[in-house]
Amino acid sequence: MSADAPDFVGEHDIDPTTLDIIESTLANTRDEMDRVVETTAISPVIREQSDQFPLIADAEGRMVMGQFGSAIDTIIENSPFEVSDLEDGDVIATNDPYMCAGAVSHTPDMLLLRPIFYEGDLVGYSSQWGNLMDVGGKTPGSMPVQAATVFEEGIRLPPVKLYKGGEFDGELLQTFAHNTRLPEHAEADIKALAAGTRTAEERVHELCDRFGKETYVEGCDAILDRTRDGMIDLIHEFVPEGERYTFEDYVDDDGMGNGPIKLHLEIYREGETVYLDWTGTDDQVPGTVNFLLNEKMFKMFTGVFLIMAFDPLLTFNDGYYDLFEVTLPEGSVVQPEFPAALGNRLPMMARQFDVLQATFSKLIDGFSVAGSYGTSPNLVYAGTDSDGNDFQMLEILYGGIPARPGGDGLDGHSWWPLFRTVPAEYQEAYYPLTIDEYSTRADTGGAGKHRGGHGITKVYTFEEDGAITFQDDRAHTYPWGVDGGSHARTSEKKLIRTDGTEEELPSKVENVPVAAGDRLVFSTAGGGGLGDPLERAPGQVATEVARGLSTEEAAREEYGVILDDDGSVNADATERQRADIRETRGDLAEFDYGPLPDYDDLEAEIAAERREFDRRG
Amino acid sequence: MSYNLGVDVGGTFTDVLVFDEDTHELTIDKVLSTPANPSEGVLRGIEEATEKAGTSVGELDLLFHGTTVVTNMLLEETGSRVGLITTEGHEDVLHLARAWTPGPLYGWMDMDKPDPLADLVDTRGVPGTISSPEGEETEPLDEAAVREAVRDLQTSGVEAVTVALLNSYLNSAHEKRVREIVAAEAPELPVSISSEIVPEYGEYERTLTTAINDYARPQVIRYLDDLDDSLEDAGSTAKMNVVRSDGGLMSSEAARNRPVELALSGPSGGVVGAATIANEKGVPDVLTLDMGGTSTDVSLVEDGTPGTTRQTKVGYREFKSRSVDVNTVGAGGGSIARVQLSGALQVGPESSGADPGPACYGQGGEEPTVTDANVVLGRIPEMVQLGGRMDLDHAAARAAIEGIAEQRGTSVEEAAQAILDIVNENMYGALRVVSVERGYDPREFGLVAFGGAGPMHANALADVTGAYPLIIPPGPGVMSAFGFLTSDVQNEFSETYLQTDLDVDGAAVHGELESLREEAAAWLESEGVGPSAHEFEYFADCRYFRQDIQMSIPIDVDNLVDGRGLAEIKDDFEARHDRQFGFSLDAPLEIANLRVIGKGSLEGVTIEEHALGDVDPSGAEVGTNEVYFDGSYVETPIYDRTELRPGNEVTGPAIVVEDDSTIVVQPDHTATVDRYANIEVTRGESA
Repeated sequence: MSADAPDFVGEHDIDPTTLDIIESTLANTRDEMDRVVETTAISPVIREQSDQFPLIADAEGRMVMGQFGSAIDTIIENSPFEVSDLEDGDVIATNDPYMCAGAVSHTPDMLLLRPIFYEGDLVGYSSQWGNLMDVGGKTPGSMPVQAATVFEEGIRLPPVKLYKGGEFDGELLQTFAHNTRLPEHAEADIKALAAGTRTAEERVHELCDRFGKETYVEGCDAILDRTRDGMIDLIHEFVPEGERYTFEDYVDDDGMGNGPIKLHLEIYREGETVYLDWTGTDDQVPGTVNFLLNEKMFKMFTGVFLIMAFDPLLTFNDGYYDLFEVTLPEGSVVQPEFPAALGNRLPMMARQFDVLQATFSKLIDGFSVAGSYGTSPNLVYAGTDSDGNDFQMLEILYGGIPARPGGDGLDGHSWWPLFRTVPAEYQEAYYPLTIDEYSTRADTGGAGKHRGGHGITKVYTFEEDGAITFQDDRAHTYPWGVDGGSHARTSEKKLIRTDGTEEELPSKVENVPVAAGDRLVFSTAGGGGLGDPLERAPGQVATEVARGLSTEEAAREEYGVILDDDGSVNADATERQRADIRETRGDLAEFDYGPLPDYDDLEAEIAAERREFDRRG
Repeated sequence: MSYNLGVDVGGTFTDVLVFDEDTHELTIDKVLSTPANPSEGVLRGIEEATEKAGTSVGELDLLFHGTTVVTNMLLEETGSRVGLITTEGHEDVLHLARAWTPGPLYGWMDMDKPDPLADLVDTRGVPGTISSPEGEETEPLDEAAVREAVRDLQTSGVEAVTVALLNSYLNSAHEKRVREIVAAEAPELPVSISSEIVPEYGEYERTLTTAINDYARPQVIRYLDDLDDSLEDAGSTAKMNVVRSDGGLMSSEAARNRPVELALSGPSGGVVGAATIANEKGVPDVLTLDMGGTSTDVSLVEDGTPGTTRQTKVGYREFKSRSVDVNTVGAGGGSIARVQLSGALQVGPESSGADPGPACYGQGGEEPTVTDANVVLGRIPEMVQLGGRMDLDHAAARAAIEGIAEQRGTSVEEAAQAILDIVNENMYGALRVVSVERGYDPREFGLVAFGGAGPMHANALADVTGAYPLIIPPGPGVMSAFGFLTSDVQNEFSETYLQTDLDVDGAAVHGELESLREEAAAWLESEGVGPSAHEFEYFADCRYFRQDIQMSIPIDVDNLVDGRGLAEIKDDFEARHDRQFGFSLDAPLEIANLRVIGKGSLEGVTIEEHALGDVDPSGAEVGTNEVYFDGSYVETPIYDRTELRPGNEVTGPAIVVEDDSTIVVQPDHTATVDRYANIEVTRGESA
């Protein structure tokens, strides 16, 4: 054990069964926090899309249970008070990414932090954050595409006490809510988040009642320690020492004509320490796709990947932080400097996951995952209806989950856990629009022994004049295939005006006016394929053609499967076709990035697309 | 002479209870289930049990029948081929499944997503639209397209048809028309329409629920037809009642139309039975614990009434059907213990099943299970033959637990105790979900334990939850069948309302409820319940405007018009919201749904009351055993439950054995046989 190992490492004076009980109670509490927020929040984004993130930390602010890591020390550092100023019943609130080192990475995410006291002593913290519908700024939903600074992205609360000693500061909340377009939503959702943190406080109190405060605190240390031990085993088993592995991929653009934007990651191991270095990543960009990546959160992502790939039963927490060394170059798109705009960090966040997956796919023998649909596409439709009522709809959409070691990717599913689509019937009941289609985009997932998930198409007809703002990505670059699997198809957006004229739109637009009767066709990208498509079982290909998830053409050209008129596999013709393809195609690449133009051409294409769109204005 | 009979068809065993209406005597019988042809086992059970009770099938008056047939069909994916007719453009509704992937981050990597119950190959979209929220037709139904779709599906071999169109919860005209066309074109195919199965918003859940109905329907129809025929052949004239997931009863005709309502038919019986017994005993607020071989169902009963939920979950699928609110956790006698990479001990959800079963069954099982831990610690005495059928292999149990002891570096006893502590903790977690999480303090509740393994673990759970008294009813292994006998004829009628207290008043709500009540009354009549026996309960599912919560608030209809109207409902809602979540809002009240439950009671069984006798239990003592409690072995007396008499008091530690289960009474506890023949366990010396 290294001399500078964290203080929780060592012998723990706690009965192992008690420890297991504390751990499982905290795990259940995390789920309970989510349930409380989901049921009491008002925003569809929180309640239907489960966009909230609980954690329980120890008295040092280290996350014992949760999945996004904590930045509690930074938050308190940036607040006007010290740890010693915290009191029972306080709740700290902030939505300023720059005040919490990116623990929340754009302004609509409101983070609440509650110190937990027992018999007068600080025994830990609970924290919960969620995506509010609106925090003001230049566009409804507060995620402008074209903003140069964070000042255009709404009101920011620095870390301040929203509750002081159990007393709720109504004036503070009112001041905040007053600056948003949907003040009642903001108030209800923030209260729901606070209720979530209170749930954790109650459960921690119960654990202290049951086992004693000292045992509880010792238990937290031991939970951190045993996760660290488990992670050391995983690292030794799966991360080879010595060699350096790198991977590069691009986010299309920043919504202002700048792109492609490169992410570059290098991973290597020395002893027990795994180094993850983002040097070589592009500088921050003028638009809003900058992603203030919290270092601890990235360590968490890395650990969670290893755990989910190889030992899904291991608890993840801050215990393994000292085993990862992360380099995030200052001023890069993954560590932008204040006051860079951050509203649309989702493409960068998603790509960061793709790059991490790809680097591990290179580094770990026999384990590969392809590239994903590349962001959490979202759409805002806002305006004032004929009766004079304001409306504002925010929706997250989904695309193709990459092919996985265990099988095909999923069509139109969420790479981010626990999200759900908002029902079309909810949208039609509460907003002036109809949903004319919500369907799978056949063939858009990359072919492969395991195919990538397909993207989706959703068609909206607007019933009132208003404006739409949306962001998506993977319109210029392709979700890559791996180990012989093919790349997926790109995303597309089209506006069909009432007179029948069609406008192709870039993947990121802001406040595009729409009139009643206009239709939006929103199509998301697929996920990449894994393994040689010619190794896919012909019967499986035939079934997918019958289901309308694949075309006969794709069956023939990509999978080499020839179907008879009744839809069944023609075995002889299939064998010949597969032999032909094998003969004429080149060697299969480890990664298939799709037919990407040269870097300079791609850069010019992206700039031209934006110029053309701005000119149409 | 007349008899009533309750029959609970499980995956492995079919339990039968016969109640003699004259002598009030109960006869228990258990036969093997016959999953390949379920009606066969049921008939055999009925014949065997009636014979045992000294009567015959012809003497039966009322039949109460619950079954896991639908549950197993869903879990094992053995239902029928379903065709789906939906709105054009929305054909992928089941395939896209609301995009949900499990947590945590990267949960998608391991997600195992089953195919939709209606395959895309068997799904057809048809043109025709209904506007929202007005519910007006904006594009007529394309009947030619419907006809073509039906013929197409018929030729391709579907066995049932689901019709689920967008916005049909607002206007069901199109769905009804599609049903007429199916009936005309393919009269042999059962067809369900979503606006009748779940008249509520949410296209995915409504479509899924309706598809489940049709997935189960052809087999349920066949099964009930067979059962009716064979009962008739056996000379039965009894009225058949089928137990629904919410613990109510419906006719076998109604069950043929709505098999989705049977998804949790089995577990509901136990809860209803437990509620009845506890209520009769004067303990109306109880938690229930039903621990079997692979899983445990827990629930909360308040004021004698089991809680119900609208969200029912079976495996991956979560759908909208009213059921007794049971929380299921993978903790049972067969749950397997493992040591994780981090050193943490995990028990379940994997189970050794019935075959090979725990190591102590001596059928070749080697994995350490909860039952093996109980055997090692002496909690299952030598004289007990599990299920009355097999001898215990102590050596095999000990060998299985030794593996865990080695990995944990403890003694075998400590390892066995740790397994029990962890499995108890898992059940405690489940009990917390139904109590603490919903704002109830378990210390204000009693605990009713049943199921094969429940009585063995119940005392430990009463201890940790503080839920006393612990009540172990007679025949804990056949509690569901008993519960069926206590059930009422019951059905729920609901509609989506989506109005706020700014837009409607009490009179408007009263009008809506009245029309639902009329529907309920008509249904009760059709189930053979006369108007004098009708009872109605009224509920509004409330939330703050646009919240997702749906708190069911009971309504006193008389106060809607003359009393405080909606204000009374709002106050009740806010009080509950505050109790559960700790805050309320200055926002309008939204009534999402209105519901009326129509009930008619049947007298299936009467609970016998006995005089209390002597406290001395020594007449029932059959030996002693070394049992491990709190770190050491204690010589512990063993009692035979069949010899214990009302009034007898047993001081813990003690083991009480009976045919289908074993009761562990912990040290510092007292077990008393009450006047209803329940065993009641309390903390400390006798009360």
